[in-house]
Amino acid sequence: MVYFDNAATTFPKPAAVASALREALAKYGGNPGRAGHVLSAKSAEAVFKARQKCAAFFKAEVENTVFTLNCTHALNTAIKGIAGAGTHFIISDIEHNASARPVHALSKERGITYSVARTAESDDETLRAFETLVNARTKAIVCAAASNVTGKIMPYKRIAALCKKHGICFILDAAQGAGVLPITFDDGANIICCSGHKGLYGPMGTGLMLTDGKYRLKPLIEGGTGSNSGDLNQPEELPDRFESGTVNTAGIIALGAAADFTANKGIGKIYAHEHALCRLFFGELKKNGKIKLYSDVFDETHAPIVPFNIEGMDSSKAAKLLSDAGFYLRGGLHCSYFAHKKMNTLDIGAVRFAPSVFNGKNEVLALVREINAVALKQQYPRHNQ
Amino acid sequence: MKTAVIVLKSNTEAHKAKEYLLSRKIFCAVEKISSRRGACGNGIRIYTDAARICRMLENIGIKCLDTIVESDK
Repeated sequence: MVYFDNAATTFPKPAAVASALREALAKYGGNPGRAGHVLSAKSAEAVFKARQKCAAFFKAEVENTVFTLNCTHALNTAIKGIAGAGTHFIISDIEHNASARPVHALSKERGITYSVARTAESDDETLRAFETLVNARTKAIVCAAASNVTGKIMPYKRIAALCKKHGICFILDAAQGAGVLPITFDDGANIICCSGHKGLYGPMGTGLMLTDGKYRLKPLIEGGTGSNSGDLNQPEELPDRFESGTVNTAGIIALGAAADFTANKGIGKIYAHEHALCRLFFGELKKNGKIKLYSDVFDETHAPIVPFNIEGMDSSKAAKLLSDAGFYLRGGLHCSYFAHKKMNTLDIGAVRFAPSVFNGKNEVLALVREINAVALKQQYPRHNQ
Repeated sequence: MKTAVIVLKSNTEAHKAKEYLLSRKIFCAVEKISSRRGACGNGIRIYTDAARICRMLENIGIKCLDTIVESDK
């Protein structure tokens, strides 16, 4: 089995993450921050240490580092938290449904509106597209650091500067950027949302919403936080404001180990390794005229993701045939209506190649051989019966 | 020994305060508080002058909500 679906979730996880998860289940059984007994206190301390590691990773304040279930949960918290009557949002035309659906859902109520900025190959054009949509009611721009379908990296630092210039909030969806691109609050985002289980190599069921503290957000849910329980009002202070209910203690502790792994490995090295595999993959597929690629080149403007299709074949079928041969990639629309609409692939989707730090060159070349074989069978089905 | 519990806003702040104080060789421990202001709250138990500790914490942005001084043992 060779796994290339790392844009959905990375696999395998580092040994240190698996070990931290096992240890957490065995040792940190108390509900963190709830009781005064030793087991609860130890859990709370372990969660705090994981929070510190995640905060340091993004250069955030520890109290502004909120654990969520995943990036979608983080984005919903940020988007719905900042929305008020009459709010106008701007999103891009490569957004994942994690951003697009909450904004669209809000547009059906309370007079909230949104505009979609048309991104371009040129960052200058992309910036202009965003800026022309800003109006007096614009409260936030929500944009991915990189497309989860094409891998195209957005000019997120310049979008942050644009938001600062207009006094609006920048919510950065770092699902495909965190752990691969050196994203921190130095880039200028006000809120960074990411999953813990993708580029950070943590377990599924973990995510982060990090803020610079400039915008007061309404919580998505209210409830017990283990703090100030004599008051029926939801606490104002972070992270408690957004962490009602028992947190995923074991997952969070393992996410702390994952942040260590990624930081120690080095984001630059991870990016270089995965990018080299993508360049190899792209270059090899380009030799086959029956393979459709969706950019002319694969260069430094791309995160390590390459979408492709086999001529005349639905992406789900191609992904199934590759799976039968032991190569795990994802076909379909990747929960991204906008990106596939832009690529004109809403009807057949695309197969997505997304390597991790654990993949190697030989695995990529073996996959290319299999793709070429599938393409050949598609072209000359009778010869292979 | 005279001890006090400084009530803080959250468990995260309590751990942040503890790390800061320990780095300055001031012994303390995170503690849950189940009575008085901040019922089911969080704080740090200290064994030194609470007013001085509060000033130190407030210098790094940690607000002390209350101080519960306990009698000599």
